[in-house]
Amino acid sequence: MRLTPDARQDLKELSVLLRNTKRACWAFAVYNTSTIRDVALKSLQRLLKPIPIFDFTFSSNQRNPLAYLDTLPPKARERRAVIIFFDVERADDKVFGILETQRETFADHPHSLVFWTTPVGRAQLARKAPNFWAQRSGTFDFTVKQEGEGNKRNKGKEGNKGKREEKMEGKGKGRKKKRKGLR
Amino acid sequence: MSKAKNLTDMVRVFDPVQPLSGTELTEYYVDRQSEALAQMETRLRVARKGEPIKLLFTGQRGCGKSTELAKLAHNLRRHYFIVPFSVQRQRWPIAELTYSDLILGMASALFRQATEKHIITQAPAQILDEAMDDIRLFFENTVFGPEIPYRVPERKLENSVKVNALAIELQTKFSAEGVTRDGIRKRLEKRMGELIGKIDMMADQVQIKYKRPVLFLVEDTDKPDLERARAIFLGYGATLTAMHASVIYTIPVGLRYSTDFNAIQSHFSDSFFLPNILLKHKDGRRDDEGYKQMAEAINNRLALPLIDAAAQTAMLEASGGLMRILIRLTQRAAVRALAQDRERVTLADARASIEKDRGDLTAMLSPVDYATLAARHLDKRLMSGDAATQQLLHALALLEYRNGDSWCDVNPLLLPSLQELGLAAA
Repeated sequence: MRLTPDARQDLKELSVLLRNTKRACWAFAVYNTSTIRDVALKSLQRLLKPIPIFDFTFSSNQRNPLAYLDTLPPKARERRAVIIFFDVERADDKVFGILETQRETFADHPHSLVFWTTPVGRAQLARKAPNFWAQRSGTFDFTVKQEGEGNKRNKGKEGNKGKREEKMEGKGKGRKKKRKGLR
Repeated sequence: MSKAKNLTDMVRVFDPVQPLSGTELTEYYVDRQSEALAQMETRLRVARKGEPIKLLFTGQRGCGKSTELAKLAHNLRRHYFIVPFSVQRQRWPIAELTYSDLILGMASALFRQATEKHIITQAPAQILDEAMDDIRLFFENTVFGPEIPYRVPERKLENSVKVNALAIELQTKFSAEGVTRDGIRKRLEKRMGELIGKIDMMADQVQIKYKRPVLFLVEDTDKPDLERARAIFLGYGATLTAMHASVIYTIPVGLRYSTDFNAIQSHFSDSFFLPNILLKHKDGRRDDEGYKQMAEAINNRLALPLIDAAAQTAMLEASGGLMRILIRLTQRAAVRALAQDRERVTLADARASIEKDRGDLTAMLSPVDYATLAARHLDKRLMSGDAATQQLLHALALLEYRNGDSWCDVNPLLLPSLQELGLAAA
């Protein structure tokens, strides 16, 4: 799968932002298929060289976004780096609470944070962490029109949602393996 | 950070994360002729000797409250011994913030600032020693007590240095340890009067030595959710204003519209609202002064003309007079121009940047919101009792202005969406 021209433009802009900010900044990369996300991430990694990139995945056991600092090598904590966050929408409200109330802590480190999120996650972030959201440098769109999207819509919201989640879940498993390349 | 000489600099200089401070405040600050700032400053300057002034300060998210407070602190630095206390900067958890956390935070900020080496070395030791010893004992016996482990300062140190070390210890432990927080809150519950007494004692010492009264600037108290903020300011307004020092608290803008606001306000000397910069009047007429101020916010950050005039105008209009939106739009437009190997921001860059922000805002709206937006676009009323309107103000889909009276209008980013739906005139 290839990135659309618009997504390529957003990818380029995201890399320009991340290369040129020296202090903390945060941005949101919106996607709706994990395949496209992985394609975009691979290209982003290439575009950002030699800036170090680290990734951090939220889960029911890992709900503190600031814990990313503990996963960094000691030297990287005070140096410029890009931190990629995954699955923010799969964690619970505690994550949004920490993003909202610990903004100063994120702002104190010279790290650029990129939250990969689905459109649903983006709306959740905006609602549940409004002050964090308000300080974003921007959102970058990597959504693609999915085949048969129109037909699915007609089948009713619930059934459709279930199928979509299943699809995301399945692709998410594949992503973990590929993402190792980012470290 | 110096002014931008090229687009790469622009990406750094237009920073939506950090409020202005230090040299940036001097270089980039725009005098927005804010009545709120002028009135707060006057109120504090003309206060009778020994009369503490207690103020509430609010405004929509991103309107520039922190920058205005930084400017106020700069303007009053020769009149007051200014003690800033930011809940977030201390990394104290806002989600569980209580009134006693605030008093304790202000106390530790004052004790720490008044005992910093460069300040304390200017004061004759004997003047302060007795007061410092009293505060040290309060920290050791009441705040920490036998249950909470803490690093005991070395015996040989002066009392002021011990107080400084204990204040730092408290701030660190309170931010990091939930158990410590609970323990200290419990211990102080019935001894809040004593803590306020210690604040007054230290403030008196500062006044004697520096001939300036203490002014606390308490930030981030507008960040807790509305219920928590209401519990703090409605339930404990008397305690929050009990000390002899002057203080400014920020409060959530939603609290200002609540039916409890009169009761809250009764504890304070006054309250001030920082409106967004007016770009258009209620009747749609352009406000040239507002445009000039917003344009200054851009131009003060630029060493060279790096933005086409049409691009700048488009971003100014789209900002709706909200400073942070303007900063983000300009940063993103510079990012786009750089990505396309240009040396200036063009109208196309500005439009693309605006479109992105519009997308973010519309993604948060539901179909029913558009009806409310259309109604407010027509009548401009703030509708303080209407939950739907208040939610849209909170989400920045509606922006509040004040010229004569207070009113609101749709965030200009959303106007094209309303027009497409036939809910607003093109």
